[in-house]
Amino acid sequence: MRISTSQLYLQGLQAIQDQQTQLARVSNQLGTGRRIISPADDPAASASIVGLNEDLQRLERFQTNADRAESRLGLTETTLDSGISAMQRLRELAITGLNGSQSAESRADIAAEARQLLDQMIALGNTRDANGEYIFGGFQSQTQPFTQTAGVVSYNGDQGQRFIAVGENRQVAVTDNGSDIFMAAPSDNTQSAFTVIADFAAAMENNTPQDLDSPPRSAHILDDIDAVLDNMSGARSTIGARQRAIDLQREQNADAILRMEQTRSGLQDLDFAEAATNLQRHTAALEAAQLSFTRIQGLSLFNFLR
Amino acid sequence: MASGILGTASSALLSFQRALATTGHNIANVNTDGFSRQRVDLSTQTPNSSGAGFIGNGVKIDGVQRSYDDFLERELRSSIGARDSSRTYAEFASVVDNLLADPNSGLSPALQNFFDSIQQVADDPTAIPARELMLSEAESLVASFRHIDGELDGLRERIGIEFRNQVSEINDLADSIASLNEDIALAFGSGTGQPPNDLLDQRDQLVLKLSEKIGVTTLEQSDHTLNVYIGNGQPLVVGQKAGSLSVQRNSLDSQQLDIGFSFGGGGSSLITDKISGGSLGGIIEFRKQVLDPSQNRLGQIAVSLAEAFNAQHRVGQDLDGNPGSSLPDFFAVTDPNDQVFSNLTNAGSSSLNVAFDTATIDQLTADEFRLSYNGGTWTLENLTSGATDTITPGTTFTGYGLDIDLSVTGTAVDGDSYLLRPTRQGGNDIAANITNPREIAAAAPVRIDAAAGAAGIPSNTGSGQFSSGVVTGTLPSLPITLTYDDATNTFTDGGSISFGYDPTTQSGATFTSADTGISGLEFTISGTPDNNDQFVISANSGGGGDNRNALALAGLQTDRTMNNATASFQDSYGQMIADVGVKTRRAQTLATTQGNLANQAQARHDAVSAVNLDEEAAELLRWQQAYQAAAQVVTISDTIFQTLLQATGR
Repeated sequence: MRISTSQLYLQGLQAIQDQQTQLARVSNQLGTGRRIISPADDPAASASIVGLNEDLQRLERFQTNADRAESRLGLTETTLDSGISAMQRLRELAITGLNGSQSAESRADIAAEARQLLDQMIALGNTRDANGEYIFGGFQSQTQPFTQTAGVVSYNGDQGQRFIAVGENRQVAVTDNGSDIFMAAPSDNTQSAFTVIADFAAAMENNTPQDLDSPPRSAHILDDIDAVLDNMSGARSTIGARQRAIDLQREQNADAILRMEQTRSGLQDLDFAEAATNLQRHTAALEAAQLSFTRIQGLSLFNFLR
Repeated sequence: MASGILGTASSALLSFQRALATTGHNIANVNTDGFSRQRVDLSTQTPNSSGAGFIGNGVKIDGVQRSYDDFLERELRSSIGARDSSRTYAEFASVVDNLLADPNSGLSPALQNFFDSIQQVADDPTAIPARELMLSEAESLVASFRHIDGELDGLRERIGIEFRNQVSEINDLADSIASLNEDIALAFGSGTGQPPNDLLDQRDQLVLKLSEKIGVTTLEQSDHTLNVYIGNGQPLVVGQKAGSLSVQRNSLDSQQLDIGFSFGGGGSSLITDKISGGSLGGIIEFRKQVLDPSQNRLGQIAVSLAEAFNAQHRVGQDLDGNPGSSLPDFFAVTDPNDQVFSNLTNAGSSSLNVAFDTATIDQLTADEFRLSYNGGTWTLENLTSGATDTITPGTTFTGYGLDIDLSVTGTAVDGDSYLLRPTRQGGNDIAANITNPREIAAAAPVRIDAAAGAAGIPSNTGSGQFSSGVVTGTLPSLPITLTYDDATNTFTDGGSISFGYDPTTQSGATFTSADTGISGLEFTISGTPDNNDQFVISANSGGGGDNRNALALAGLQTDRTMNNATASFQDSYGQMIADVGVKTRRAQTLATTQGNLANQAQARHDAVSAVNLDEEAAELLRWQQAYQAAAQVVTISDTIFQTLLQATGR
């Protein structure tokens, strides 16, 4: 084939430019550490990466949510522990106070401590979290759930329960309402944890331990105290179960995160060994193209016409 | 005899001089684009007849020819046109490609951050900072939509500028070709019949330049003028006359620029869709295949997101207990009526009203439609899929996530038509309406509690429990107290509401409003209620700690609310990225392939036509030697003459 002078020139130039383009690309890849510079490099992988990024961020959010759920449940658990301790102390006081050897004075002392337990129990029911929300108020977390008027403790909250998402399609309850924990315990549905304490305190103050028998009560005071204790312990073990579920979910999330990060890395990360080899290859090719360009351009018959 | 030698020698000298001049011309034009090397055709002069036979009479020039192959020239034109078309397409498409996937300004991170911030509100529904964050992420999301839409608009503007530039260059080229046609016809006609090589080269070069801009076909006429056609046969150059292109506004959508064509003062017709090849063809194809669909799809995502989000937000309740339906919509949505274009030629007085259909918003498409009136009915043609629907005048059509109301005033005349681009401005027009963080409806407006007696002590004795409920629509007036009858296993409010609940088979089941007759509410019941146990459905007053609606809003991130309930927002955006990526990649590959083909065509073309300096150097030597030899013949002829003179002078 006949070759024209301009074609020879352009061909040499083209070869140099091609290699430079390849070099620029490899150096861009090496600079960013990414195999895919723009989606057109691998459209399918690019769409997958977008999806993976979204999933990963959501999973990270679930992990954060799980932390928050644990801390909320932890607060509820601690509060319940205090409530259980208080009720256990009340039980000890009841056993002591019911003993026939007690005097009116000693029962008055017991009554005083029982009153303090009552105040403590109300305070526990009105526990607030770090954001100032009442943890036992149900949905009405900004209204004080337990108030005492004329010796009667009332629940002002509702039975709403807050859930937090800790996984795809997995929500965990992070609040328990005060009604279930403090108001619903004894068998008689006119009684609450507070009335049990108050009734006991009143009987001690009046030195009338016989009031605590059944009858006149629908259940003996110790049975009512046990019912409150059982209820609180039950609530605490529910929380424990939720915490274990969260731990399990957190591990599953961590596995999923690891798996997805690996997938994403496979899709978008650069194989540095391969890129370094390419860099070498294109550098050598560019040098060869430059050399052959100068050589060929130096050739001319006119050099010999003197 | 001697004069015969002299004549022969001088004919040779003259011819070789011409040949040297031609070689010099070739060397001079070694770098001239489109130059075809020339060669001198020599032949013997008519010999003298003598008794001894024919005596040669020297050499003469028949003509100067250019090395030219019409087929190769056409091949070069078409391959360069194809190359520039795909190169321009790829160049524009990669702008969109990079824009969509940008890790900072792309839509994807903004979507993620927005939904992440809703989760934070769900974690702490009463925390104002979390709510503030959600509002600011909503602003960022809106800004991201607008940024991408603005960049796409910028490309549209650039296309307009390119249109004007290319059209003016094409018109200049057409004029130049027409005037060269005139020169060439004149040169051929000037008597000698020899081809005006350099003029022909110039014209070929202009046509080549033209085919870089726009696909052309050519036809040479008997008078050697060249007719140039574009599109599907529009005559850009006929003989010595040139037509002209112009940039015009579309008769339906004045925002859209089109290419018009007119010839010889005739009327102008739009030929945008007919143009292919060349950079202008590439731009037009890019606009049609990448830009328009991308902007529509971005708008589709914006509208779907806004509609789905607004619908969920409306059934919620804000921090102050206000129902979501009394609050402003969370997002403002584009008005599809702004993208309804009435054809300028419409003779009737019809009008229409287009709205997004919230209930079927998952069916929303990124398609464009033509609504045309003929024979008493309207036909809605989907310009993307080609599907058609017939609509009776005066009714409302619901489909594609749209309500097209044709009951508005006025009547149509046959041939009237409208262009609908419902989602084109979606990305630009989305806005965040809520500025007060307390107005985020994170709660649900209703709760269901077991009945309580004095001091809030629960009065139920059974183990029956209701969930707090999910709001699906408009609620009845509250509160409603449901009482259980264990003889008939039914809940009743003592009025019209009565529904069965069998604890042995239905515990944990979900009851919809269809099951219960309580409108807009859905809940689950579990456990075994005792006879006369009561449950109260009441307004969620003071329920700031409720995050049910925030959870539902956050759930929209993965809900398949788009493309007939097959894709989430992010899925849809991912598909858009992949789609543009595939088109860009194809164009890039094509540009490389066409570039190689063009290089090969150029090589084949140059192999015939272009100058090789070594070859010309050899030619120089050849003609120089021949010239020297011919000069020698003159000397010999002189010597012979002198010899004769001396002989006769003795």
